[in-house]
Amino acid sequence: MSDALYEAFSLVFQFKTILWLMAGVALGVGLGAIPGLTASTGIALVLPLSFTLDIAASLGLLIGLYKGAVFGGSISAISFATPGSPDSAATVFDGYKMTKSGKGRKAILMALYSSVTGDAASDIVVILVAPSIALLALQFGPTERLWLMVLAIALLGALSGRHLAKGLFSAAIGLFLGTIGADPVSNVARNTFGQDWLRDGIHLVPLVIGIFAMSQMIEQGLELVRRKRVVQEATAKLGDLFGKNTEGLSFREYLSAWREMGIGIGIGTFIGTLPGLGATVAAFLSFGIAKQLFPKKKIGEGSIYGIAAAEAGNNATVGPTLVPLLAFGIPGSATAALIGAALMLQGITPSPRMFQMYPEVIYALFIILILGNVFNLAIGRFFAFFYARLGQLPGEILVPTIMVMAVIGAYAARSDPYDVLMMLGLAFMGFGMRKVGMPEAPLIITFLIAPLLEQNLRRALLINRGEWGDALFGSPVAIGLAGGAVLLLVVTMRMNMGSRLARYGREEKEESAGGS
Amino acid sequence: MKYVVKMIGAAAIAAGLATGAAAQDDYPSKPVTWTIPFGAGGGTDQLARLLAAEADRIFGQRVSVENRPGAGGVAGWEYILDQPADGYTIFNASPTPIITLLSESNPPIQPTDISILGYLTTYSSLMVGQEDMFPDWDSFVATTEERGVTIGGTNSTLLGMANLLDQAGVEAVLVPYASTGEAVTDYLGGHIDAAVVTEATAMTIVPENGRVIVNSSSRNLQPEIEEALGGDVLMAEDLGFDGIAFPRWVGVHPDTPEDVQARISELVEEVASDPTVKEAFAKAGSPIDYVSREEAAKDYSSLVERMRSASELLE
Repeated sequence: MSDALYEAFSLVFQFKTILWLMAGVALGVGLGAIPGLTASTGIALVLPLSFTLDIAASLGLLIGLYKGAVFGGSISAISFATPGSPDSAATVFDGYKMTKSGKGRKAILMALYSSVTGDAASDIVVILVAPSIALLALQFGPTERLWLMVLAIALLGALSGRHLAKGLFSAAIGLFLGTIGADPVSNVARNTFGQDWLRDGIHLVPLVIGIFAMSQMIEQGLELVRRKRVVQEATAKLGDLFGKNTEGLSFREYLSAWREMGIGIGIGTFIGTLPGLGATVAAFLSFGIAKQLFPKKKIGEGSIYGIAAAEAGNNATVGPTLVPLLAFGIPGSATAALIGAALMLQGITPSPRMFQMYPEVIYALFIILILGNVFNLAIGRFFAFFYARLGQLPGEILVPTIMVMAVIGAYAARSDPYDVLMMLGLAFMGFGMRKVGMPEAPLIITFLIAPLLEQNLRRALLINRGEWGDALFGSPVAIGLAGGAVLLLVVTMRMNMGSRLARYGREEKEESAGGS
Repeated sequence: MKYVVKMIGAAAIAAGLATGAAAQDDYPSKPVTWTIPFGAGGGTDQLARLLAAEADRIFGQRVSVENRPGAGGVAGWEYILDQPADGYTIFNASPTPIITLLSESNPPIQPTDISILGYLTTYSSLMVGQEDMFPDWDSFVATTEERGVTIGGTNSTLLGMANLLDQAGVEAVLVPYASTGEAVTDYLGGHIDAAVVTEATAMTIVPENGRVIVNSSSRNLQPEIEEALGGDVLMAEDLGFDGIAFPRWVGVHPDTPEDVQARISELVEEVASDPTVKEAFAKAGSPIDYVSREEAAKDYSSLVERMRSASELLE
C-alpha cells in the first residue's frame, strides 16, 4: 500500500499534472459561469485531449474541470440571475438578491467557500468510506428511491413561500412540463401535442435559464424603459465598480453558516452516490431543508445561509458521483461516465478490481480530488472578484447582455434551436408567475422529481407485478422513508401555522437563535 | 488575390460540372461534417470524436463532428435528409433513432430512409445474473416458469433480449431503465434478478458480481472480450434462435450519387482500419468491428424488421 501511495504522490506532484489540474479548474470555472455549458459538456469537449495526456494529468484536467464547473455555475447565478448550469439554480434566490443590494462579492465568496468546503468534506468521506456508502446506496432500489422523491416533494411546503396555494399551482405546472416527452417505460411520446421536437421532453437548461434569467431580465428591462434614466445613478454605480468598497465575507460569517454547509454536505454526499439524481436535486434539497429548519435566517430573501446550503449541496456531489464507478465500475452520472471513459482510454477499465489492479491510480485520483479544491479556491477567488464587479454594471448594459447570454446558453446546451423558443416561452411564463407572486422553486422541483418519481414507481410496480403494497412498502428502508415524509409534512404544517400565528400576534421580536 | 478568386471560381465550376468518375476522384473537395443525432458526451459522441481526430488525415479534408440531438435521435436524421445529397454530411448513429421511429405510431420518416455505408462497431445485449441463481440457461428458463423473473436494462438492450426470449417462449418481466448505471445498481442491490447490458458493461460485472447467462447477439464476441467474460459465452445461435447485434452505423442521404457513396464507404473503411483509430476504439471499450457496405446494407434491413417485431413485444 505504501508503495502505491508513494507512486501516486510522484504521479500527481509533477509540474505537468499540476499544470493540467490548474488548467482544468480555470477552464471549469470559466465554462461553468457560461450559461448552457455544464460540467459534462466541458468534459466531453476535452476528452479527446485527455487521451494524449498521461493518466495523472488527464485525471487532473477532468476532475479539475468538474469541480470548477460546479462552482462556476454559481458565479453567474449570483451576478446575473443566470445559473451557469442547472445545479446552481437554487443559488439564484439568495445570490441575485444580494447582488441587487450591492453585496455581490460577499455572495460569491460565500458560494466559493461553501462549495470548496462541501466538496472537500465529501471527498474525505469518499476516501474514507467509499465502499460502505456504495453498499448503503445499493439498498436504494426503485421502492426506496421512490420515497426519497416523495420526501423531496414534501419539502415543497418550505419552498412555497407564504402562499401554499400559489406554490402548489407552480408545482402543478412543473409536474405537467415534466411529463412532456417519451414515456419512461414504453417509450411512447406523451403530451407532445404531435410535435416531434418535444419527444425528448423539455430540457432542464432552457427551463432554468428561461424561468430564472430571462424572466428577471424581462422584468428589469420593462422597469428600465419605464423609469426615467437618472444619469447620476449610473455613474455612481460605475464608480462603485472601480472602487474597492464592495463588501467581502468575514471569517465569522463563513463559520456561522456551518449548519447549512453541514446539511449540504450530508445531502450532497448521499444524493451524489445514488445514480440518476445529481447535483441539481442535491442543491434544491439542501436549500429546502435549510429553509425549513432555520426560518429565522430569512433564507431565500438574500441571505448568505441559503447560498451556503445550496452550494455546499451541489459541490458535495462531485466526489461521491465517483463512488459507484470506483466501487462497482458503474458510472452513476453522465460526468462519471466520461471520467470512466477517460480511465478506459488510459487502459484502465473501471471495475471492482480497480483497487487491486491499479491502487496507485486510485490514490492519485484521491490526491487530485483533494488538491483540486485548493486550486478551486484560489482560481475561484479571482473569478469572484471579476464577476462581482461585472454584476454591478448599470442595467442599461447588463440587461441586454444577459438576454443575449441567455439565448446563447439555451442554444449551447444541445445546439437545438427549439430550445431557444422554449426558453423564451418559459421566460414569459416565469415573468407572469413573478407578477402574481408565484414561487419558481416548486416548479423546478416537481419538474425534476416527478419524472424520477414516476420512473421509480412504475419500475417498482413492474418488479412487484403490480402489487401496490409490495411496491410501496417492500422494505424497512422504504417504510422508514415513508414515515419521514409524513413527519416532514406534519412539521411543515405546524410550523406554517406557528409562523402565521406569530405574524398576527407579536409583530416583531424574535428569539435570538442562530442569528442572521 | 485575383488568382485565388479565379481558382475558387474554376473549382466551383469544375465541381458543378463534375459527374461520374470525376466526382468520385474529387470527393472530398471541401470539409466534411460528421453528424451524430446525440448531444456531446454520449457513447456515439465519444467514438465519433475519437474517429474524427484521425479522419482528417485519411479524408484529406477537415472532418468535424456535429451534434444534432433531439426527438430521440430522429431530429438529426431529419436534418440529414434536409441537406444536399452530395456526401458532405455523413450520418453516424446507433440503434436509438431506429427504436424511436419504431415506437412512433406515425413516424415522420422511415428507418429505411438512409443509405447504409458500413458498421463501425456492433454491440451485443448480454444477460448477466447471479451464478448461484442461474448457473445455466436451463435453470434460467426453469426459474421463469416458477416465478416472474425481473430483468432490467436500457431500451436497446432489452429489445435485443426480448427478441431472444420471445423465440424461446420464455416469459419474464422486462424493466426499462433510463441509464445502464441505474439498471446495474439495482441488479447489484438485488432489486432485480438480472441485468441486460452491453459487453463493455458486462466486463465490469463479471466475474465478481455475476455471470453471463446468454448473449442475444447474432455476432460473435471478440476473443479477448469473450475470455474476460469467462469464455464459452452461450449465443442465441447455440440455442437455435436468431439474434440481434446493434450496430453503430454510418450512412448518407439516400439520393447521394452512387460513385460518391462508394468513395465514402472506401474512406470509412480506411478510417476503420487505421491503427490509431482501432487502438482508440479498443481502449474506449468498443473495439472496431467493421462491416462493409454490402454486408451492412443487407443486415440493416433485416435488423429493422427484427427490431420492429421485438419492440411490439416490449409495449
